[in-house]
Amino acid sequence: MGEGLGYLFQAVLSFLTLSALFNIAWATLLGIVVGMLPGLTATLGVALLTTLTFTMPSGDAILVLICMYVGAIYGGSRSAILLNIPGTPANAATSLDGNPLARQGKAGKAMGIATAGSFLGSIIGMVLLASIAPGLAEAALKFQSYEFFWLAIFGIVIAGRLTALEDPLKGWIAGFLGLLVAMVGAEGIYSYARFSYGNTDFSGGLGLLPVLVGMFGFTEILFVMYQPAATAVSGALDSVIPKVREVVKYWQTIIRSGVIGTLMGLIPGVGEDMGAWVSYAAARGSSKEKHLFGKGSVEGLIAAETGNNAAVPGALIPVLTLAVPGSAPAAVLLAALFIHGVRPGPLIMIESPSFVYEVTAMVFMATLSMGFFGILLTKPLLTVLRIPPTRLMPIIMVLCTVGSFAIASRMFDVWVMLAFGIIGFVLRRAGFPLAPLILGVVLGPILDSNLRRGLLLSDGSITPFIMRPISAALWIAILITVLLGVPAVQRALGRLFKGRKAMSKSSSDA
Amino acid sequence: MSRTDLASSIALVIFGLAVAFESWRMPRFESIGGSILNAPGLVPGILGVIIALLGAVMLTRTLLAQRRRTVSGTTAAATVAPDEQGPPDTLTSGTGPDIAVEGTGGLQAPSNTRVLVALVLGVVFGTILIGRMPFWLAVFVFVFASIVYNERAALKTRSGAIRILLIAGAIAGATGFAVPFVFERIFLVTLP
Repeated sequence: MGEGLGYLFQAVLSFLTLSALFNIAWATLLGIVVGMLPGLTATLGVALLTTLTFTMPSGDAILVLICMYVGAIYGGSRSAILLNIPGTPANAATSLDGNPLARQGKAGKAMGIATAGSFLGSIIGMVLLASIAPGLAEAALKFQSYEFFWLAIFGIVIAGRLTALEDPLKGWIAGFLGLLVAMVGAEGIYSYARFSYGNTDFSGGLGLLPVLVGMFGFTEILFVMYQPAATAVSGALDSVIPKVREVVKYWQTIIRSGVIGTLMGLIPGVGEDMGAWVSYAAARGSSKEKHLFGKGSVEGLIAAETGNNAAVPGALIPVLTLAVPGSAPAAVLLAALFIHGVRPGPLIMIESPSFVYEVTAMVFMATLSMGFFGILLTKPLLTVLRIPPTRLMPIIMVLCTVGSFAIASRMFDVWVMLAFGIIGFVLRRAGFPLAPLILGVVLGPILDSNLRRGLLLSDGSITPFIMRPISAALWIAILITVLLGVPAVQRALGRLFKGRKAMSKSSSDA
Repeated sequence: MSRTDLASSIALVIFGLAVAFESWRMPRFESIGGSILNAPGLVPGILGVIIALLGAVMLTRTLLAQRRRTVSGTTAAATVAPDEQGPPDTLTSGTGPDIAVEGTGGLQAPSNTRVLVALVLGVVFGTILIGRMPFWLAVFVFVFASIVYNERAALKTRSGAIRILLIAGAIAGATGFAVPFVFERIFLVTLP
């Protein structure tokens, strides 16, 4: 622990140079702007910056990407409050109480509360990142092919379940489609080019970044063009500096939301949106002011914003310790780590023990910068919301094209981006969530290599896949998750609990 | 949504089966000691089967829901008869009413035409314009055309047309200059 604190302190000190502070400032500010603009998500922001920071030293590049990530998740609260349109999907719960507050003439107060919530959420998540990651990495050392295989399936099943609460089947289908996308191109054992049909471009596989930029860039552009912009809540702005009394009053909600947000971030592929929704639901469930929720509740707003920003450091925990992303932006970050020669995974605490703390320090610096700009630049930043999407979207399209091309300098990646943008639009219109699909693209190679390696090691026996303790825990968790998503099981459980409730009521009446 | 679900589920079943078939046809490298356990087609084949199965579940669910709706529709028609005691309580069952989407106040009606034009312009930019002319010019043409199309309502008056053409030209020119400058000069990234 003491050693960890030492690494953390050293890392923070290393960021107190002029060039690091400059990078932190511009990247966070850009992140806030990206987050504010509907149609530009944190995932797209991190993906585009990955190409821009391609030639930077790895430490600087990762710092810039984390600042973009933290800034964008926070920035989305602005449009959620003022436009009632979440800037990123992570801010959907924010609009439920943020926009009613703005309509009551308290837009400044709402933005101040959102800033305080985001700041505290990031800090709680950061503390949990520094405390959980080393232990998890140590536990992950016990993972073999069998466990990694189940971990990949677990990620798909849980992400499919939680990102499509009303219809988990579509979430699972999206996840398995993503796994299939990852199967295109040369595989690891025989270098056989699957589904390539002699085409050299397909033999190289479909890059994660072009697929991501297509699904989170071009798809979003098409959706923004489908629905024209809403008008912002206008009028004079009240004070944006949050009152300490108002924030302290909800300290329990803040801590609970911070922990929930981090845990939601930790679960593969689930990420910030669920961090916000689950925190919001938990806050409403235990609130003394339930009647205010949805009508401008400060507690609801603070829960949502604490939850989504806490999920950012939470999503970095599996990235660093298991090389499995906790959210879609974290998937890009994972790809960026590989591009910059960092090898995340169970060996991280052995190979580079200081790295987890360096990332924690990066989150800390990004959080400070976010709080600083969030309070100081509120009014100038609002001008961004006045840019008509019809003028912004063509520019975003140009950036998507350049971003897809830049990593490998091949036009094929631009075509992949276009194709997946169209596929993403069709899938979203048909009600399929895109986050499990992206997770599938990341987890595909892990699933493929570990299933085949595991089967070879066990000489074709599936016993170790079933009987090893961690494997057993994972497949049981998968089974429970799937069963809970089946409507017939849900109905049976509902009847069971109803019957028990009725029985206990009748016995207490007697 | 049920019609979309029907089409999606049929497409998924066909797609999954096609993937499984193609995976089965992949080489197994048995001549160099390979086996079915490490064959390249093993995982994609399993995934294809899973997708086909999930598609089949979705198809069954959609068909059952449609049948329930048809049955409840017939029952509803029967309940209109005056000698009936009242509508059965299953009338509202089925897939249920669509959930109202909150937070769309102030938005205009969605437009498929705008999506189609954005899609065509994007594809033309990515596949035809880039590579056939200097990058800055391709960017200029794409951005200018997109803005002018999206704000074509302003073209009806002479002053509006001049204003929108100037704005579109300025934004397209600035983007055509700034993107190559930032990517190539500052971040040393290669452009198409």
